[in-house]
Order: sequence, then C-alpha cells, then structure tokens
Amino acid sequence: MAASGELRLRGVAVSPGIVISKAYVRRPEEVVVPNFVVDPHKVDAEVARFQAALAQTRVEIDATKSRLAEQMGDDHAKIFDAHLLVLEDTKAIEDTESFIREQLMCAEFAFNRVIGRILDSFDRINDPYLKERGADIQDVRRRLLHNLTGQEVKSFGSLNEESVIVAHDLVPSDTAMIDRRFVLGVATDLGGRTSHAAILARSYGIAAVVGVEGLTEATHHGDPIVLDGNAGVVVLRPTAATLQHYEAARQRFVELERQMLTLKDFPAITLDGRTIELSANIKSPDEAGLALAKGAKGVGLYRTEYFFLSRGDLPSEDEQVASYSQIVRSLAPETVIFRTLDIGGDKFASYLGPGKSELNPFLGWRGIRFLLTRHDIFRTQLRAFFRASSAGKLKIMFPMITGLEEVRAARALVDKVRAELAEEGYAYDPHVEVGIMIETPGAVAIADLLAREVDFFSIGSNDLIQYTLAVDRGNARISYLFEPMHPSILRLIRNTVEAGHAHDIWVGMCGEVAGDPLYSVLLVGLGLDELSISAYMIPEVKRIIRSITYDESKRLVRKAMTLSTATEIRQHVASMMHERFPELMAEERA
Amino acid sequence: MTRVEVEIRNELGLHLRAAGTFVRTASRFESQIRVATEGIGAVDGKSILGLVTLGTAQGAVLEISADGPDEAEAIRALVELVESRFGE
Repeated sequence: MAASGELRLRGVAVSPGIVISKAYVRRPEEVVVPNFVVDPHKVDAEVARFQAALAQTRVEIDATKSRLAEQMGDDHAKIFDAHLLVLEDTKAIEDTESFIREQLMCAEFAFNRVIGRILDSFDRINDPYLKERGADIQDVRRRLLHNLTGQEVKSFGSLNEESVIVAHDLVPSDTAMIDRRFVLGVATDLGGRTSHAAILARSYGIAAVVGVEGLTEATHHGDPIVLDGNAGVVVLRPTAATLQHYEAARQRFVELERQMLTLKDFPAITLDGRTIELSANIKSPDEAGLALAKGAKGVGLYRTEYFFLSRGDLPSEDEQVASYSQIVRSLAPETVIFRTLDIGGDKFASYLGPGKSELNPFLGWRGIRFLLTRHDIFRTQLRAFFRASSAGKLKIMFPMITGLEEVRAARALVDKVRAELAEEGYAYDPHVEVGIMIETPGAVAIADLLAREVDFFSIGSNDLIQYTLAVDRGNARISYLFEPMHPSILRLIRNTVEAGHAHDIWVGMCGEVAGDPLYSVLLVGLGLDELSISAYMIPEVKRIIRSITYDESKRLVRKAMTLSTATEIRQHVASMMHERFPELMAEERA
Repeated sequence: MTRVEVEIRNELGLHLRAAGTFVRTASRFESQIRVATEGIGAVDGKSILGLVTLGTAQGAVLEISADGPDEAEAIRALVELVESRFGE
C-alpha cells in the first residue's frame, strides 16, 4: 500500500486553479458477476429478467440525463443519449439473448461476456480520445449489471465535506452523482483533456489534473492533498514547507483571478486613454452568455458557417433570421459582426458545393468567391442579416477579399437586398456597416483602394500568415514557418492599419494571434482599434491593455520594426513581456 | 448495393456521440448499412457498439455501403452527416 511521506506526482493540467484540501478517494468498483446455469425450462424467464433490467436501466439513464441537463446544461447531458443507444444496441441485445438461450447461462454472465468482447476490441484503438470512450461503455455495463444483480450503485453519498476527488477515472454517471458543493478539485489516474473528469472540472470551474499515474494507489482516503491545476502537479501528504509554498501560490492565483474578474465591466483602455474594442469570436448563439460573462465588448467575429455545417440542408431565410436575431438580441446594446458564409478551404458541406475534390482548396472556391457564384445562398443570408438588424446592432463582413471587383459586387447585392426589403415592408437598420476581412497579401497591397469603399477592416491573422509565408500550418514538416512575428507580417498589419486610418475607417484583428497575451502590447502599438478573440482570453488581454500606455506599446513596435528576423522580434517581445507581466507569463509557461 | 468512401473530418473522430448520431441517421432507413475502415469491419451501421470499436480517428476513411430499397438516400444522408462533422 501507500507510503506515508510527501509524494509529488505529475499529470496533465486540464483545468486551472490551486487547491489545498483532503482527498476523497473513489476506488474502482468491480461488480461481482454471477455465473449460474439456467434451467432449460426457465430460459424465457431469464430473458425476461434481462429485458426488465434493460427497461429499468433506461429509466435510470433518462433520469440522470435530465438531472445533469438541469445542473450543467443540455450539452453535457447529450452523452447520455449515446449511453441509451449503447444500452439499446440491437446486436448486443440479440447476442446476449442467444447466449442465454444457447449456453443456458444467466443474464449477467451473458451480457458481461458480450460487452467484454466489445471492450477487448478497444485495446487495439490507438487514438487516445476514442480509447477513452471505452469508459462510457463500462459505465452502461456497470449500471445494467447492478440492476440485474439488485446491487445498488455506490454513489458519492459519503462525500459531505469539501474535498479533492481522487479516482482512477470518472464516468458520466459519476459526474451526475457528485454534490458539487463539496468538490474543490479532481485528480485521476487516467484521462486526457477530453476525459469526463476534465469536462466536469472545466464546467464547474474547479481545478483538475488528470493522467496522474499511480495516484489512487498512492492515496489514502482523507490524505492531505495539494492540487495544482496550473502546472499539472499533485502533492500527497505535503510537508509544512510545501504547504507554505502552495498557500502563497494559491493566494497569488486567487488575487490574479479576482483582479481579472473585477475588470469585467471596465473597458480595455490604456493608461494614457486609448480604448481598444475587445470583443469575442463566437460561432453559435449559446456562446453569447460566455462572451458577456468574460466581459466582451460585443462579438467581433460571428462565424456563420457553423450554422450551415451543423445540418444537412440549407437553412431557410426565416431560420437564419431567428438564429441571427437571437444572438443580436442577447448582446444588445453591443454590436455583433457577422461574417458571411466562409465555406471552402478546410470547411465543407456536401450540400453546399465546394468539396475536397479541389487540388488546392485554400486557393480555391472559398469565401466571397463561393458566395458571388451562389447568389441564391448569398442573397438569402444578406436578407436574413438585414431583417435581424431590427433586433439590435450588427455589422456585416466579407471573407477572402482579393480585389475591388469583389467588394463592389457584394455591395451591389447588399443594396439590392435592402431595396427589396424596403419594398416588402420589412424593418431594418439602414446604418449597418459593411466591412471586409483582410487575409490575403493582395488585399493589403491595395488596402488604400479598398478602404475607400468599405466601412471597416478586420485582419484575419491565420489566413494572412498562411498566404503571406506560403505555409500550411497543418503540415508538420513546415509548420515552424507559421510565425506571427515574421517581419513581413508586422509590416502588412502596419500597412493595413495606416491605409484604414488614412481613410477614416477602423481596423481590427480577429484570429488566434489577436488573443495571445504575448502579442497584446505589440498589437496595441500597431494601432489596431479592435481585437476580437476567444472569450476565455478576454480578462487576461484586457488586464494587459489596462496596465500599459499607448506610448510604450508604440515604442515596442518601433523597436521591433528595426529587427530583421522573426526570432529577434519574438525574443525582444517576449523579454519585454516577461519583465512587465511576470505573473501572466509564468502561468503561461506552466 | 451502393458504396462510398468518406473521410472523417471532425477533430475527435468517430467518438461515441458522433457514432450515436450516425446510428440514429442510419436507423431512419430500411436498407442494411455496413461500415468498414482501413481493413477493419464491416460492422452494422445501426449498431453504436460496432461503430465505436472501429476506432476511426480524424483523417481515416470510412467505407459505407447500403443495400436495400432506399440505399441511395441512406448513403447521401450519411455522407452529409460525416462531411458536416456530425454537426459539431
């Protein structure tokens, strides 16, 4: 059994936070599977007993599902739909019944045997995420066996004081039974970023470390435990010195979090008064709440393609109006910037046309090119945007622009749609701004010409880097070339901002680069007016912007512009950021 | 019989929930549906337990075949489902 001294174990950090508490150990619970022989005359009764257990289990899963849906939202409960399908798998039921009839073995033994064979075949699956799904099948098996044998499923009933849950692994039904008031953190032997333990922890907003080898075996129930969800460390039975170290770290973290949260309702403004519109990138109406909770100033990039990709046919105009109005309404009085359907490249839907038959899809029929040849789809979407504009504030932007003809053709359609709607008597906002994504070097080169005919620019960093440096980031051999700090990228951003400002339009950036705190000061210094980023990154980026001056950010840019390689620029920016923001950067390393 | 090959594009591969959506779609059709991947299978396309044991990760190719009165419609619906990344 376990040693009694301090033990430090490493795992994967999947949810941040530092917790000092005691361990609630959940040991794997093995069901004893009876293996009695069935009297040939009682075979029908045995099959009926199996059927009854199936029905009872179905009721249980349904109940768990609704309880979890209430606690954590429909999304988390969806896994139980899959559990129901596992339970009702025709093949497994047929196999079990014929096993009972032919081998004259009891239902428990037969079912366990059938599921066991399926679980065995998980051994040869290499993909770690798919392998983890074996836990779901185990979960269903355990429930059914419990119902057959009449044993009760042990719950977390004895969990009645604040603890860190230590387990081999957690399954979805565990997560439904845990009383969240008492869970301060989760640590498991198995699992990765997508394990149920990780998902549970992130949705509860508690610390978690998973994949800690040998953890449950080394832990006694009630052991003092330190859980560092930032660094991925678990310390069992910590010494006084360790405790002191982690208590200090915990306080620093709590203070940092508090500072970030208090910033929620404050603008992203520099010490010398330059305001940056800090908005969120989202792709469905249910992410609006998250954006607002994190203090986003509206939505700077609404990716409409996910609405189209998540279904098998074209959404009608009315369906689009309903979806767009919902998001606009929930963010009012802030603005939502809708990007028109950006299909092609790496996003396909067979019913939409572009497919992977193209040799070079990123240079192919995508973005605005697709829309301008599919006026039916484009027109419907534009009509839906304008109809939704009566519900709140929105702007429209076009992706993948390379020339002025595209802008003019798209704007002509916008004018046509507005005239139609006016004639049909629909209310819409006549002042909807229409802008474009700047994501090709070609567009940057003519940014001065484009700026005269649009209301704003939003730089799409990923595509701009990919097209400028001619690098496919998905290709591991050359992905090192994907470098936001390349001098050519900084020059293109600067040129775009200057061209936009010279024509009195605002210039923003959406994409991963915009949300990386390492680049925040540099991007402010480049003169960007807006950054649209992942909602999760907003508090951190906002804090940085609020602690610098526009002047010092411009100095950083001037210095960076004198350096000639990406490596030099990256080093310079990183060392400046480490000096100014040691706490943020330390966390990033962890 | 109608048979197609389609690449799994969603990040997490044919995981339990995705397989569940596949099974529900396949079950709407009368045709018998078989699924194989890279030499493994073929399993029943209406059995979630069969599908998940294929362990199909992102980038792998699914071979779907349908046999029955509505085989063309079934194949079309299933290909669309896979290509739309199971609506994730």
